[in-house]
Amino acid sequence: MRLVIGIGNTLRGDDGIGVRVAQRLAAQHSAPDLEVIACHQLTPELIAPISQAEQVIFVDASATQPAGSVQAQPLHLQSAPPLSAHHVTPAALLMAADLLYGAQPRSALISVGAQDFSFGERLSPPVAEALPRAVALVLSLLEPQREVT
Amino acid sequence: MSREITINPVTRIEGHGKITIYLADDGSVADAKFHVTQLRGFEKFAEGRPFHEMPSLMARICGICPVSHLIASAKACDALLGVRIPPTAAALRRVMNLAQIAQSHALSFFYLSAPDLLLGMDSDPSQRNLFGMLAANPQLARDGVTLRQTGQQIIEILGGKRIHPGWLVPGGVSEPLSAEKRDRILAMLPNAIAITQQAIHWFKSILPRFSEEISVFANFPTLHMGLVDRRGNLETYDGYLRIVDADGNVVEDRMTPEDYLDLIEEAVEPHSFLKSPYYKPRGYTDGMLRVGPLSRLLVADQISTPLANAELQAFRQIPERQSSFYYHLARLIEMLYAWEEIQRVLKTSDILSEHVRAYAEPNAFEGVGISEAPRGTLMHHYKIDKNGLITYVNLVIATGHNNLAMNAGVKQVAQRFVHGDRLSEGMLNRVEAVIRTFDPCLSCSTHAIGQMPLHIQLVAPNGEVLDEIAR
Repeated sequence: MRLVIGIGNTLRGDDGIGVRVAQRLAAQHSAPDLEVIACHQLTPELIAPISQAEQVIFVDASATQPAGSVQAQPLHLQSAPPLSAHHVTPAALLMAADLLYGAQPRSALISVGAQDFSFGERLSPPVAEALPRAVALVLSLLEPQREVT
Repeated sequence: MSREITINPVTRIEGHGKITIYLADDGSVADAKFHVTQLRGFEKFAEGRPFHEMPSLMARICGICPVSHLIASAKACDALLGVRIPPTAAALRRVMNLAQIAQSHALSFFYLSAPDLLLGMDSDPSQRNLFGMLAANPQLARDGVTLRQTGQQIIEILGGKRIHPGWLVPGGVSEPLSAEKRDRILAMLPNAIAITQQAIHWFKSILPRFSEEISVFANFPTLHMGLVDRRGNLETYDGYLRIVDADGNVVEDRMTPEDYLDLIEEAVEPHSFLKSPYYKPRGYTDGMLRVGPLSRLLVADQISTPLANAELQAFRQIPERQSSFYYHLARLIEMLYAWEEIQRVLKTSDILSEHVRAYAEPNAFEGVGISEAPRGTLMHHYKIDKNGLITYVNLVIATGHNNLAMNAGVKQVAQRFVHGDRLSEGMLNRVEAVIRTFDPCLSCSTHAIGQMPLHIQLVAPNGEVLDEIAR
């Protein structure tokens, strides 16, 4: 099973980009072995599906990247901060999946530079324009054997 | 010279809170207060909205227990419509409420409190978190993941989505259950039951290590309130309000939602945004109440499902069962009940009936809905005008009912563990841990923004802040 987890709050403008990517993938690119989860924030119970996946791709907004830029980066488990019930990082979930279930799926974080986090359901123009590129990047990473380095 | 200690923010609870410990001249603890420092305002900004929006608006109060607010709100709206909802709709709402209680209890027990229980109150705070727990007892951590996920999946299967399902509507539910969905839920339950039983067994095995905490973690007589069914069984969705005293004597029984104003008065304290409800006939503060899993087990005569009932009867033999430390055990017993009861309800013959919604215009200007949320009795009270627009909302929240007891519990723990100017991590962690036994959810109780940390302050009689810990 390949897993895509889109993170964000669609009521806070560009913050919703991760969820939008997940929604578009689920609507237009469904495949029998592809599971797509959209969530507000990461929570510890995601450890369970992650532990069953051969590949996990997280998609999230970035407040530090230039607006509209799309990047894929590897996740370093060694740098995972402690796992709390309220603030969980992708690396922490991967580390927990390894510790608890011995699962080591291939993984990546795709981040999309965001600029407007105010109330509203609309993406700002550069982020809206980045949406198809982010979807395409997820799809290319889902191709067998593509690794992010 | 007397002084003051502040714990700010209190960690591993839902919302923002702060604890102040006031020291007397001799360095002993004179008083302690739990402050809720966040304000929301849902009661006010719902005014003017059409009543049928209330379930989905009220669900937004909280990302932890949206289902509980949906249920109480939908029930208040049923009362406005003046309808009796179809039995299958009531059964389906019951299943969702139980799944909500179970997943919330799993969060509280396995994610928030298990680090203290497993690693000890004095353990290294950098290890006393979920990761430390994963390393120390991976099986317990896996069980926590599975149980929380089971509850979440049941909610998602029923409601279409996990955090803010829109399936509950005034008059019933929006869609019947399919056989396929029922079977998916039923397939998860045997494992959930087995794991919950293991967790109960594990918790009982570590109890001897916590005899000191048991003796002072809000271990005092109070009233207890919760719903029971017509036969006095534990009830979470519907039924009657019952209040018992510390000796188990029934003080109020067979009270309906409409009676809540005769039972509950809400006090406001200057140090907190969280109101302090109490049992009206006994006055403030003799009417101090507790609600939630511990109280529900203390008000019920028995539980209708066999495995949980056996645990309840064993629980009743525990001499210090008034101690709030036993909220943890009560949570596990209720989780067991939830899985068993979901199984029973889903196996009833008319659960797939397509008649799941009653339609009506408003027939009353006022409606009260009461259900049991994970943390205790939840009350939604609405008034509408002739156009169906909301003119008044009062929400009495589980964490509010527990406010007076939480404050008294913080004081009891501080008096036992905090001495003078020697502040240790373990002392302060116990002060936080007594709060965690109640599993307060401050987001809805104050109507809070954002996440949830807490903060301890040590204050001298002259008001000087001597020490402060913020995490």
